[in-house]
Amino acid sequence: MRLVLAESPSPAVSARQRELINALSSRLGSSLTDAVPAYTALTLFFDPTRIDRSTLLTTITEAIESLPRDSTCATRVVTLPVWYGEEAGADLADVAAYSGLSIAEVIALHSGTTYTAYANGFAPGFCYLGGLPAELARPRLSTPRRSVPAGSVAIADRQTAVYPRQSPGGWHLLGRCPTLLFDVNAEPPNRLQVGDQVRFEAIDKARYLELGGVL
Amino acid sequence: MLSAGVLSTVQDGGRRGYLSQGVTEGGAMDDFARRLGQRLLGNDIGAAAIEVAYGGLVIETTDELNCVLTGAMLEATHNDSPVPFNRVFTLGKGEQLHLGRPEFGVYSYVSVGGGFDTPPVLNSRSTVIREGLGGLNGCALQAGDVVPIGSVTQSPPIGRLPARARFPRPSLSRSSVLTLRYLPGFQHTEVADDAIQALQTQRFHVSGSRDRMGARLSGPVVNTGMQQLWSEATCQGAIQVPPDGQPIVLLNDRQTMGGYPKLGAVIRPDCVRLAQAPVGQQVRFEALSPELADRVLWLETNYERELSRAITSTP
Repeated sequence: MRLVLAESPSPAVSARQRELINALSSRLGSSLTDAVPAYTALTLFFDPTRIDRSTLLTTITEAIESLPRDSTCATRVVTLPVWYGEEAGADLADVAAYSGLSIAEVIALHSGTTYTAYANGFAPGFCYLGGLPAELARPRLSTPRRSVPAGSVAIADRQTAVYPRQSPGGWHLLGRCPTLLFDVNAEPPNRLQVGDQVRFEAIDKARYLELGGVL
Repeated sequence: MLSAGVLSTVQDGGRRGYLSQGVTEGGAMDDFARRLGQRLLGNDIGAAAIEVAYGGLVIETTDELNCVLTGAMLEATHNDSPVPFNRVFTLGKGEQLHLGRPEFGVYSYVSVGGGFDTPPVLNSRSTVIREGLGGLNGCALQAGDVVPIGSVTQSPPIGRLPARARFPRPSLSRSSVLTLRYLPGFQHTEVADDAIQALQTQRFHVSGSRDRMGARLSGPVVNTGMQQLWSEATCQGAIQVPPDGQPIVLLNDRQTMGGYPKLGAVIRPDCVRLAQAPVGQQVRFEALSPELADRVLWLETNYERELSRAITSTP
């Protein structure tokens, strides 16, 4: 079942999604098997052998009505270190040229912005972060790379993200982040959750290696 | 593992509850067949089997074990004699099992007493290669691999399908046109009428581009006339229509989010039929009301409950 919360995504919508998930989990227990927030929508998955349709609808309506008018969910701020540079981010110079900025200005803009986690998807640990400054916005590569190194920090359209592991990818690469973003032994496994406020902090190569980054 | 064939992976009932983390479901493409194997062996119903796509598997045992084959039927031999499907047999220590190619269907399952015991990841042994999770180090099985087996807690109840079980269940449909029953989604009312018309009245066929992630169908163009702005979660069986108008039915290893319009979702039993259908199979779509879908679910569940009861009752 899919609930649409707004016309367009915003930090408030993401916070609302989280509140709604909490309200629904406490009411539905194990009959709610998954709840996936993404941008404007919240998709709910049920075990149809545990709950019938009409009870479900009533419960969801009650949960929505129980929410306070103003968001009360405390947002978490997560800071991710990034080694920016042409060695770490193959497209940095290209992005600078396209935007008419210097490399230093691109780094300052990218690391000087607070982003909102809008959705987890594409791959385990991959989190779409919205709020990229318009000056840096750029369509995806017309031909995606067959392989993007793990930890690559990248941008596309008005979003930024970190590739948690080596994978194909069509976004523009600015640098590398040494933080582990997906850990099967953690609960939840993803470092970033929808609704989080995310900042990037510029570090150098030595610090990147010190923090466990690999080349 | 002497030969892994085209694609053999460890699969259980799938990895549930992590879609919000971008972790897909995975699991046996024909989970009915996998479950049947566990029931026949007296295993835990969630035990893992080896899913063999398009046959070709050759294994050798390090110890004596009970084994059963389910799913897409193929010629299998043990000590040069044919091995029946849906019936438990014993493989002696150091003996080999050879699987041929399926005569119909795609996915066959090799289950063993105690189940395959690779390390569970996020509560599941299912292999999703794209995510590098489950199975042996997140990979497909390869010649030379040694797959651990769990300890046997129970001997096979009767070890074969009871005569009164109506079998095979229609999961391997051989009809000339496979009907995919689906629940219309919210976008059903937003897309152009022509698109729904095309989806419900025309025939499509299963194209060569089909795998554990989904099945691309080819046929008349379904022009949805809509462009979706924001990606959202996908579900099992989602009928996704990209701009080229050729529907893709998303299956077990699908990406957890998608940005293409989705006209609805094919119900799980029919996803199994689609997964087992050969390339070129003709398909048609039939919309179900939620009440009818519930009814089908009840029938499927009940059939399996009866089957399970018949297998475990002493003859």
